[in-house]
Amino acid sequence: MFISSARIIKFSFQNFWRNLWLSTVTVSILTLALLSVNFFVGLHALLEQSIQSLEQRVNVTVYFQETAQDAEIQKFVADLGGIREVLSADLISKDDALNRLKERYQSDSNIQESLKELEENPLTASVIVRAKTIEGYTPILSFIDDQRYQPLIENRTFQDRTRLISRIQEIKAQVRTAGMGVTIFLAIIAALIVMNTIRITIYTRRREVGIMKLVGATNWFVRAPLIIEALLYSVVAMGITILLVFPILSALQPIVFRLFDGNALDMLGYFSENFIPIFGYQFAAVVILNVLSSTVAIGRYLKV
Amino acid sequence: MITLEGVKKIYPPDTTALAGVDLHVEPGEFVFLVGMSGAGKSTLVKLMTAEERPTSGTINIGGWDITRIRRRDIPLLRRQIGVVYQDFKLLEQKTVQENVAFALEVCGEPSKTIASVVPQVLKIVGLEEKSHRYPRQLSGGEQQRVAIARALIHRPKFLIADEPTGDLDSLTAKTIIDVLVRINELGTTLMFVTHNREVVNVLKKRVISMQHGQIISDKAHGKYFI
Ligand SMILES: Nc1ncnc2c1ncn2[C@@H]1O[C@H](COP(=O)(O)OP(=O)(O)O)[C@@H](O)[C@H]1O
Ligand SMILES: [Mg+2]
Repeated sequence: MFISSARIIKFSFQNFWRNLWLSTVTVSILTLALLSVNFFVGLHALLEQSIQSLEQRVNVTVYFQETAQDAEIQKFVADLGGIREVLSADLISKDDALNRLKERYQSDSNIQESLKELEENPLTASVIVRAKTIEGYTPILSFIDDQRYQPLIENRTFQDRTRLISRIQEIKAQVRTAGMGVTIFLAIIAALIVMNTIRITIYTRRREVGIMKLVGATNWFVRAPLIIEALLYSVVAMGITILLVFPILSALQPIVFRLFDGNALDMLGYFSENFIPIFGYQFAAVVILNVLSSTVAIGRYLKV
Repeated sequence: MITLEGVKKIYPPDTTALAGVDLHVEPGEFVFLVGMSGAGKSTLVKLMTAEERPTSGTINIGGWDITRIRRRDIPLLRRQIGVVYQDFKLLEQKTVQENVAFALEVCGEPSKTIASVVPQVLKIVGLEEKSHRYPRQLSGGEQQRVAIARALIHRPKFLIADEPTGDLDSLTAKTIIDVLVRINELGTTLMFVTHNREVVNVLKKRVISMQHGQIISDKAHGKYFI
C-alpha cells in the first residue's frame, strides 16, 4: 500500500510534466474560468457597496421643540440609539446648529452680520438618524411618531423621501435578482467548461488507461494518478488565479473610482479581507468538480 | 495449462466470433494459432485475458476457472499471463525502462527488485543501451522487444503473442521470433498467433488452424495450409 501510494504520487507528477502541453492547456482553461468567476465576485461586491452607500444617504432629521429640555432630548436620543435598526443617531444641539450655519456662510458677510445681531439662538436642536437598511426606517419612524414624544418634537423630515426609498428598494431588488441570475449562469458555464476540459484530458489518455489495465493494473492504480493530476491542475490554476487577481484589481481600481466618483468599494481591500471565503469556496468547488468529472470520465475507459 | 471447452462468443447483436472451441495446451508447449483475418483468433486471446467474456463454455488457465471471473480478480489473472500485441501497446509517456518496470509496479514489487530485474530483462531482448528512450524514439522491432520484455518481467508461465510480427519486416520479425522461441525453451508456455507461413513451416511446432470461429485442424508438427 505504501509502495503503491508513493508510485501513484510519482506517476501523477510525471504525467503532469510529461504532458506539459496538455497540462498547460488544461490549467489555462481552468484559470480563465476562475478569473471570470472572480470578475463577477468583484462586480457583485461593487454593486452591493453602491447600493449601501445610496441607502446611507437617506436619513431622518427630527427637529425638537423650542421648549424641549436637554435632558428629555438626550433621553430620546439614547432610546432611539437603542433600536436595533438604527445605524447612527447624531444629536445636533442649538449651539452646534448655529456654529454650522456660521461655518457654512463664512464668506457671506450679510448673513454673518445678521447672525451677530441675534440676541438669542433662533435655531432648534435636532437629531439625524440613519438606519442600517432602507427597511429599517419603518420601525424607526413609528418610534419617533409615538404619541408620548410628540410634545418634544416640532417636526421631522422623511415624508418627501418615500419616493427615493422605493426607488432604491427597486434598484436593490433588480440588482440582486440580476446578480443572482448572472452568478448562477456563470457558475454553470464555468462548471461545464471545467468538466469538459477534464473529460477531454482523460479522453486523450484512454489508450494509456486501456494499456495499463491490460498489463494488470487495478482500477485504483490507474485512476488515482489521474485524479491526483486533476487535483494538481486545480491547485496550479487556483494559484495562478490568485497571483493574477490582485494585479488586475490594482489596475482596475482607479477606473472604478473614476466611474463611481471616488465613492466606490476598495476592491483590493475587499478581496484581501475576504481572501479565505472568496478563494476557499472557489478552490473547494474546482477541486470537487475536477475530481468528480475525472472519476466519471476515467470510469468509461476502465472497462477493459 | 489452458483448457477451453465449448467456448462460444457472440458479439452483440449477432456476430458469432467463436462458434464452439475446444482446446487444450500442455505446460511448456509452443502452439501456433493460424487462420484468416476474422477467424476469431484475437477473440480467443481476449477471452483468455478476460478482456471479453465467453457467451458460453468454460475457460481454465493454469487451474483457474476464469469463465465468470470477478472484475477485481482480472488484474491478478493478467499478472500471471504475458501478452504481446501487434500494435505493441506501449505507454508513450514512459521510457523503455519505465514501460517494463510498470508491469512489476502494478504488482507492488519493491523498487529495489524492480531496479535490479529490469536491466536484466532488457539485456535479454538486447535493449539495455536504449533503456532511457521513449517508444517513439525506437524502431518497430525495438518497440516490440520492449513489449516482450514487459510481458516477461513478472515471469509468467503463459505468454500469448497476437500477431507480434504483423507490422514488422521479415528480418525484424525473425529476431522477434527468435526471442520468443528462446523464451519457450526456458519453460514458458507460448501461444503464437500469426499469419506468417514461413515461420510456421520452418519451426515445425503444433499448429491450430481456425476458420469462421472454429478449429478446423490441430496438428502436432503442422504446416500452414490455409
Ligand atoms: N468488439 C467486437 N464487436 C463486434 N464484433 C467483433 C468485435 N471484435 C471482433 N469482432 C468480429 O469477430 C470476428 C472475429 O474477429 P477476431 O477475433 O478479431 O479475428 P482475427 O483475430 O482472427 O482476425 C470478426 O468477424 C470480427 O468482425
Ligand atoms: Mg486478430
